[in-house]
Amino acid sequence: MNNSEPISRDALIQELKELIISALNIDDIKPSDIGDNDPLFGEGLDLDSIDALEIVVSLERKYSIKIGSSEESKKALESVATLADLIISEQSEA
Amino acid sequence: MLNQRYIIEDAHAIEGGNDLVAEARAKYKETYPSRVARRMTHIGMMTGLCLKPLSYDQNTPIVYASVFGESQSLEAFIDSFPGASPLHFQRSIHPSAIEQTLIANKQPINRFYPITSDFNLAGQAIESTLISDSDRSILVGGDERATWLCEHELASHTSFACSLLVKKTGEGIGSITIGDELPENCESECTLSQLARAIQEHSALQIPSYSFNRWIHVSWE
Amino acid sequence: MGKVQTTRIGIEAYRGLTAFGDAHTTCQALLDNRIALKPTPVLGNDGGDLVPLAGLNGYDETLPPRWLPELETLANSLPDLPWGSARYPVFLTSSNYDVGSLYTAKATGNQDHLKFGTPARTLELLKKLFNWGPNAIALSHACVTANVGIEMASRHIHLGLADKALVFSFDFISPFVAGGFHALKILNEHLPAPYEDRGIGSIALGDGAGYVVLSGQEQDFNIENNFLYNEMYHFTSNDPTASGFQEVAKLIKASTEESKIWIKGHGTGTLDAGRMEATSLQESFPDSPLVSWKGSIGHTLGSCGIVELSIVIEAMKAGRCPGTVGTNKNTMASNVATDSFDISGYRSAALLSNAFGGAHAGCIISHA
Repeated sequence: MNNSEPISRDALIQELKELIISALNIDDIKPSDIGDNDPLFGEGLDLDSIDALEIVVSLERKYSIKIGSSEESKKALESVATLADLIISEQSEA
Repeated sequence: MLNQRYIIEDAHAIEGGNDLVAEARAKYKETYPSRVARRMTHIGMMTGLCLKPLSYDQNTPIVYASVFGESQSLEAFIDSFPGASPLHFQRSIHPSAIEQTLIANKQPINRFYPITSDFNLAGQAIESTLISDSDRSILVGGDERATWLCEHELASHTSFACSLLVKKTGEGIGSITIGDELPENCESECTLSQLARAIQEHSALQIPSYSFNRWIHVSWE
Repeated sequence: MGKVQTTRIGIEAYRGLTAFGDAHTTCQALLDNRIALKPTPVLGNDGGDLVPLAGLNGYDETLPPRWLPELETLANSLPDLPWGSARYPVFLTSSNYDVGSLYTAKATGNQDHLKFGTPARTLELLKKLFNWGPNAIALSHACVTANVGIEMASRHIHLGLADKALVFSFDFISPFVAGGFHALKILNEHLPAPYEDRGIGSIALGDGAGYVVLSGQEQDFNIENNFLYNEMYHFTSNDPTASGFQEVAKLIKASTEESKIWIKGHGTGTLDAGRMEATSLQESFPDSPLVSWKGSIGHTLGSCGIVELSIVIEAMKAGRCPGTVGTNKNTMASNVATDSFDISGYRSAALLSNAFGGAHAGCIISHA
């Protein structure tokens, strides 16, 4: 966790794309293939609920945020941009 | 039922060292969406490859046999604490290995019997397959090599998988016959890996069934 | 369909064990609307978020394991028969077989925990302790395991392979198991309220154990039929069209001629599955009260099919069924019973369980 070093929203978005690819072991997509506002589920990355949870756990480890329930997870994981906003908001409250 | 002869319509077995992983994953990518292939475990791919050639539908009972089940996922899940991994947890739960393929195929199955003993697992798996009241039933099984669990004899030292499609009538590549009564105080057993080897080599096998109290004979055409 | 057309299977003996105690005590506690669940750190002594758990005598892994003396007590109450011999098969059923022992061994470095924690080691240990013969099999199919064991045992009796069959079951909670469900974000601080219409759901977990002895002779309580169905749609989600639950409703209808039944649902507290189960059953059985007890005793995982069966029989004996303890009136379907109700006019009940992989299993229990 690198809370002590502020990170811009754009850099955070890039970091999140890399984290998603590495956490889910996706070998046929590059970070640049993921649009900031692309839906993470269904079309595109073709992620499902268990992928979402794996991302959530990775985020919790890396950014010290807390997402308590599967219902909250669904909301947070609409896109990389919504994820970044959630992290920024959680960290500013901490 | 104790005098019945059953036909083996189809049977497959593979030995799976670590080299199998890349090859099998490539095969899976040809058939399944990339998400399915990237999440497939070693034992999931091996049992899936043995199940794939068999002809079955929702009404075909499936017996799934494994001594240790999803050993690599179990190790990975334990190692993931305190930030426990949901994916490894889910995959570590018996009988996730064969469910990976059935879910990828979106193939509902009415009767599904996951067994996970050690002593005489081949005998238990075959008798469970034969007592189905369907015309055709499937046995699929396997185990996978792990790392630190192997040091404590809590995982298999070898990776393998096998399958049998058994039916009551018709032509086939072999047969299963229920034979004489077991001797008193019989302690014989047949392991799942012995069954897999017999399938691979098409060698005859005599297996005790403590439920039937009879010998089961596996033979090939 | 996955229906087993068996002869009627008699329940010769049964026991159930929850955090409240035996089946009779548990049924009475549920009738009194008591809740066994307590907020507990998910990793036990190692802390973590508070989650609803109902341990029988603690929660953390111990040596010997907490479940072992409880199983010895259960085994001592078994009918004196040559279990594990040719005509008396044993079906050992558990979802996790105390796999938490392996986690504890790794976390603490104490390798004595490695004597436990796999199905094979547990089966061999129990065979030795309880003098069971080689005709003993271990089954593990997540939270429908006990039901699968009952189905297999019934099949052995139906085919004349067994005079009597023992289905023995246990699942005790541990940081390993609770940690897994917590990681899936379905075990959290929100106390579970099965079938309650709300924004966030949570399951709860509890210790459970028990057994049934089945035979071909009709008894006071009998299994009319068993049924199994596996959606194979997704590991942790049901088909959103509720096809699996609709299939279960068809299986219940095909399994009994009784027009008046009450239903003990699975009802873990997960919102999507709970809603699909409650609404599908309401559509098919609008006059059948539906209950779940997992909001009090917790989900006893692979043992729930036998633990809850023992409570069903106790309720039938008492003529009164506990309601869905902990759920308020804002239910997902109108036939969810929140309060206890008179069942003296009912002859039969359907018992349902679900598991990962979209597995469904159940049976119909009837008075003689």
